[in-house]
Amino acid sequence: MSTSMSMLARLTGVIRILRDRARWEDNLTAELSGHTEMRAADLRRLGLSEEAARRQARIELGSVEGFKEEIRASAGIQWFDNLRQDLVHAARLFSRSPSFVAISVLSIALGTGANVAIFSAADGLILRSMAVAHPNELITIGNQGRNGVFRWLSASYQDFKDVRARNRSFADIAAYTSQRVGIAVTRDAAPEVRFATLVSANFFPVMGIAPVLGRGFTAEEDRVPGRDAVAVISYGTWLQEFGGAPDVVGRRLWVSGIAFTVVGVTPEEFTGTEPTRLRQSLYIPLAMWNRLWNSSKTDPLEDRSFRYLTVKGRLRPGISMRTARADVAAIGAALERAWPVTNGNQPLVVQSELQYNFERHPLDSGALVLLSFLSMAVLAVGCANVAGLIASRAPVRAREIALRLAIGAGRARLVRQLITESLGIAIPGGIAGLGVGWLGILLLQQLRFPSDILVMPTFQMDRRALLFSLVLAMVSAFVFGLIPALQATRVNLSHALRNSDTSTQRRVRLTGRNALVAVQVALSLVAVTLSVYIFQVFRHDVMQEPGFRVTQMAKVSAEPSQAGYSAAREIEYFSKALDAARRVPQALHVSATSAMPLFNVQFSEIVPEGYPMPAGVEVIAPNSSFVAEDYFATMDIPLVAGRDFRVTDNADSPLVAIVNQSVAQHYWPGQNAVGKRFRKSRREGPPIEIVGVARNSKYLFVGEAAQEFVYFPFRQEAQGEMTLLMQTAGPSLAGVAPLKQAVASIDRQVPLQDSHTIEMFFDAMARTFGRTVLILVASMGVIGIGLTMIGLYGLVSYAVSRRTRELGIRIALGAAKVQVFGMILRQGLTPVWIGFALGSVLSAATLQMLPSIVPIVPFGEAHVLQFMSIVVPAIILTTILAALIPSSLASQVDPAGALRAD
Amino acid sequence: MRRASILPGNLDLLILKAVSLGSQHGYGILLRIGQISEGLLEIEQGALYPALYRLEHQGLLDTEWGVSENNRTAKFYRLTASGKKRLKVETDDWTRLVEAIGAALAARTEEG
Repeated sequence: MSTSMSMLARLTGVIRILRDRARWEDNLTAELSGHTEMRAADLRRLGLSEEAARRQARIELGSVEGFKEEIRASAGIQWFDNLRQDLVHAARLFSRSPSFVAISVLSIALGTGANVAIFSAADGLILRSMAVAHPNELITIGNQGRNGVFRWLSASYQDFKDVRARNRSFADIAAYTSQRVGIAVTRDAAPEVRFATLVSANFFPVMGIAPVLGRGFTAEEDRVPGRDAVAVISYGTWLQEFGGAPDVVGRRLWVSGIAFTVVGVTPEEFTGTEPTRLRQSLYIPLAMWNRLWNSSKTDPLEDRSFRYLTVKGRLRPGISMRTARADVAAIGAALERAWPVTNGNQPLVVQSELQYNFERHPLDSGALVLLSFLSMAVLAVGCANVAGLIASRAPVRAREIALRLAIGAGRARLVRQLITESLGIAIPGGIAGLGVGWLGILLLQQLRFPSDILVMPTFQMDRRALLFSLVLAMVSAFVFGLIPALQATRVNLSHALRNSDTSTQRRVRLTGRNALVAVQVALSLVAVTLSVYIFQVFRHDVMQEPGFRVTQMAKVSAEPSQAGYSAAREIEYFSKALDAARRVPQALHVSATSAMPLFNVQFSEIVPEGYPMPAGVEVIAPNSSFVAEDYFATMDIPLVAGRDFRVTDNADSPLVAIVNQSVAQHYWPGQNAVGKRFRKSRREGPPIEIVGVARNSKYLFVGEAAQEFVYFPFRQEAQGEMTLLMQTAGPSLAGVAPLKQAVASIDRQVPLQDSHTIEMFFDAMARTFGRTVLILVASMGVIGIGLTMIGLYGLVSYAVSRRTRELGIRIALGAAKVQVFGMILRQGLTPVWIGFALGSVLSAATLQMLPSIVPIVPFGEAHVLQFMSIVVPAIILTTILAALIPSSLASQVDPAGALRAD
Repeated sequence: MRRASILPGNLDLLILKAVSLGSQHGYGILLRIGQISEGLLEIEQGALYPALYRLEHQGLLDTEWGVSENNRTAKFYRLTASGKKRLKVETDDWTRLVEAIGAALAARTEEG
């Protein structure tokens, strides 16, 4: 019969019954006994005696208890009764074997905890989306950019406008870009450097952000380039700069020297478009871009080759990703035809938000994938542990299960009960796992970023981590609980009731147990392999030398562009700043760079002369920076050929550059690169002569493969921001304040930041992340091994103790103890050898597979073997102990007593 | 005439019909079904109460405690609006089924 009442209504009915269960039961009994009484009365009227009538009535109705159960099922409350029964039963069982429960819960807790920690790391670093409406529905559109392992999507302003106008798949699309600006609340205050995000007028509606004060932008305000200096400030800025004043709308704010009017405030939850990396202070219409962009070489709003916008949108209802992809590709093709110079060979692609997040952080993604493998392996070991423990208890419970089957309990019912027991372990394990995960998160929170305006991702436990942990726990319960449950209920009733142990049964159980031992050993090998591999990868990374000076140096960054400096004045500013720094007493060498290694990245486009460019490649794009004289001496980077830059390499002299060894060897192999030339930006660009070759160092991150790098003199191309470096005669800390003061003395209006020692900088940028990961990995490895040993010991020792009787008989019949022990050992170790074999194969396969999944330098197996030489003996030793200790205990038992024991 | 034993699916229909004639307690419903089937239907008493509770759980019957003929408290069942609707639908279905099968069984060969 189809249901005529909604689920909710039924549930309400059920709850009502449960609330006053006793009364319901009483009513039921009353109703049924009333029935028999009425029937008895009728029978008496037909002539039967009182007693006969009553008996007849009862017989006619049938087994009341039997269909009371049926009634309970119809009323929908039976499942509740069963559940409660199962839980009570489980609780009683558990109270009788506390060590089993403790070890099992601990195993699951450690396994799920490791996964929760890694999940939180992934969440903080990559997965957490912008705090907008339905972030997972955002689609990113753009041209694919590449630089080594980094990839990104970006678009130019004109391309964005065309895509917006011509597409048929999106409800609307918006564009944004972030850049550093100097912010001051009053006209004369020294500006502070912050991140501003330039957005298209429809940004707030498309993202689904409603300002808490004021409004967003109107389309009119984004129409005329440079006209409307309006800003929407972030909640944090509102509190910090304006003290949370309710009248902030309408007040003014100076951004890079331009007066802006505040028109709105974003909500507190919206932390910007890069919540895991940047703190954004305010939002400005894109039309203001050309007034804020610090270079006169191009108009960011007109230049189609200037691709710095992130373009995101939402699909129209009913439009699929595939349709949108084709639509955008067609528009891209049309743009390629219309503008071959700027758009040639620049197809437009789309990306989901998840893809976007992963692509933006390739290093973190790679690391997290590795770590996830490891944490899953640890959980697998934990599950194997619990499965083993459950399986060893099976013979003990066989009798109880057989009894229940014999008196009529359905097999499904029993399996359900056993699964409930498994959940009774898994769910507390999952909850305890949150505690373990929390420890991991504490560790992650030690990571720090040495910058005033960048932000370290926050690692925290949120609702999703809780859900994740519980889901994992429940899956584990099925993994370790289902098969033993199915097996246990397939018991041969008569045998189990008699508690006899036929040889076939024993063989089956033995095989099962051996299989479990082998599986545990294999899994632990995989866990060890993974952790050693990952450990080595990160240790390799951490131990790398940076190739430049990381002691006795102070640094500070200055951004004259935020004080409204022109290009010529910028060069003059830094020139004076360098002179002032050189006058500081402790200064040994002073220089500056526009791209601090390991911190920021610039690159240029060059065409080496005399080098046959590969097909389809127009320019080479090495990383680069603009540096002052004495840079290489200051940074302890030797020049292997040629000379350093000089003060005379300026705007009036021929263009020069210094390249690193990788560039020299790649494009002018076997020759002296000094004197060779390349062109900048395109084949027809101005020629630049190489005057020196520097030794390779690290530029992006310490574990990187050799990179190509080109240095230019800052006097030939003004830089809006540079980092000054001062090598000190004594400890770095003593030089930090004098350096900052010296630079500040040139112009107090120029914002300075990130003033610290090189040691602090290097430690934070290069060492801390690696170290934190190492600790995580080492912990998981240790947990994995520990769990394995505990599990193995429990399993093997239990197996041996079950053979007490057999041992007693053998010894009574005259076998030497040594012989008996030898047999036990041999049999106990066989599955271990099998496990090693299986584990080695699995580990080797995993090692082969990893480098293709993760974009990190593949690693050799040498260290893994080294570690195995510790782990393998440990496992063997554990097994031996687990076999011998119960054996020796068993052999001390009186043989006659053992024979009598049933 | 042989008494027909009742198919489980039809018990619900008969109960609904019996209750539609007036609110009644479980035993009374049993008797009434016997009456309205003119003694031709045999009801398994043990199947009655599970069916009653099922119908109540599905919202087709409502219950209320009252006093029976012999002055005992008893639980009375009556039809709800959904129950009435279900009774009509099932009755129509049954009638149509009977007609169809009857027609099939009355089929003769060409010769008659």
